[in-house]
Amino acid sequence: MKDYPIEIDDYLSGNMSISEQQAFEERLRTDAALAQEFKLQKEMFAMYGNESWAEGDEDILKTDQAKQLQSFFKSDEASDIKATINEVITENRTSVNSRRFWFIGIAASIAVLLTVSLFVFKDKNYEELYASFIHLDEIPSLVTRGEDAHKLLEEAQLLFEAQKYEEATQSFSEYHQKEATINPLSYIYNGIAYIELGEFDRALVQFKRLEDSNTLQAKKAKWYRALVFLKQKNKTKLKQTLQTILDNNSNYKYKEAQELLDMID
Amino acid sequence: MSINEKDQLKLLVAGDKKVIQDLYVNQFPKIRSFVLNNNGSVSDAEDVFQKALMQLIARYRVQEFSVEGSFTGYLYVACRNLWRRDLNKQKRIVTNDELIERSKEAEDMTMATLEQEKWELFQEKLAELSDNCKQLLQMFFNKVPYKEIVEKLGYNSDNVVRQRIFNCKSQLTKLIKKDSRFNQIKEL
Repeated sequence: MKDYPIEIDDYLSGNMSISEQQAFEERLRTDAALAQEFKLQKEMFAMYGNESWAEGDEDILKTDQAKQLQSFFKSDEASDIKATINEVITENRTSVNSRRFWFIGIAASIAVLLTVSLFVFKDKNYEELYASFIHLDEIPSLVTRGEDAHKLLEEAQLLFEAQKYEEATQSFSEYHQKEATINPLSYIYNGIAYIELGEFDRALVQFKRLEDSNTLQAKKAKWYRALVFLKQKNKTKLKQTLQTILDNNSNYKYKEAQELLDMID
Repeated sequence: MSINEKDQLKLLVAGDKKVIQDLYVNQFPKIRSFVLNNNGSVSDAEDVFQKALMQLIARYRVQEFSVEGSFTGYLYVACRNLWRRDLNKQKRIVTNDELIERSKEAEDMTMATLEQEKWELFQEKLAELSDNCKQLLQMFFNKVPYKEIVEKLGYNSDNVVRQRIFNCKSQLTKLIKKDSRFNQIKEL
């Protein structure tokens, strides 16, 4: 029955002293059989726990099944179906979203009032528009629970939240210089901090980095760039940027871009 | 799976817009609140919804399968796992890469699909254990300290819990290793 060393459990569950840990890690390096067992036990942790995800080894891409899956995903038919799904999402977005307004009723009615007043008085106050479109609450937090919490980032976010933008940008810059892997959300926070400081070129650099980051967050870059131009009251560039968002209705903040464009024109 | 759901799955695989629409209206709100509650935005939720449907269709195309239990429950789980996967990747992404082009995207979708299948295999094996083992392992995998398990489940000592978990996990390890699907992956 007992076919793997129980020390693996002790190690993975954090029930080892530092010296025991070091000794165990040394064994892992030299004992291939132990390393093999360790891999599976660690994978089980990721599969069954709620925190992380067990990423597969890219070697499985060589199987026949993987090849078939890949050729389907690459097919024109797959892109057609994908387009249909995105169409459904865009067409139905408002009907589902309206339910959400029940929960954020107060925030929504303020936004509606603001929008209405803008229409009624033709008030093109860019500051107010910026305030109503920035939605800081929508940016995911940089502080993640669990093992990967990063001190410098945490500090930077706290400074940002306290509206100490000068210090926040310093902390973010330090983080960007020191780390090889960057949490892409940090570009968003840092960019907004620069907007608040009126350093628009620096803000644009952050959103350019965000765009180049090849992450889930990259698609948000255009929208934030638009917000830089909004705050800067640069109508020409703002319009240009909003147009690039409107090129494709699956773009991030497509609806908001349309609204904003209507308001400033 | 009810007859109705079976038809739904077939129509979905053919890319039927009405079925997609029904799924969006009825299932998406749940998916969205999961993603919003876990550091994501509405557009992240939409992305996950789209990917989960594509994954389901691809799997069905490659090998027809029947979903045990409800198909909508299956969709929710697939979405949840895709989001966990995205979050996990987000943590350690490197900057200055090229934008993902189509083949890279297909590769990633394939990896996600195979990882989901493996996840299902692992869940299936866990379900075969005794209730007591399942309870203990669930706490263990979510990093509940032995001391707390001792108190909650009324064991005599840390060491009893440690041994008991070890026995349960050994059983589980054997079940996983015995499965041909697992060996197929491992032999590469």
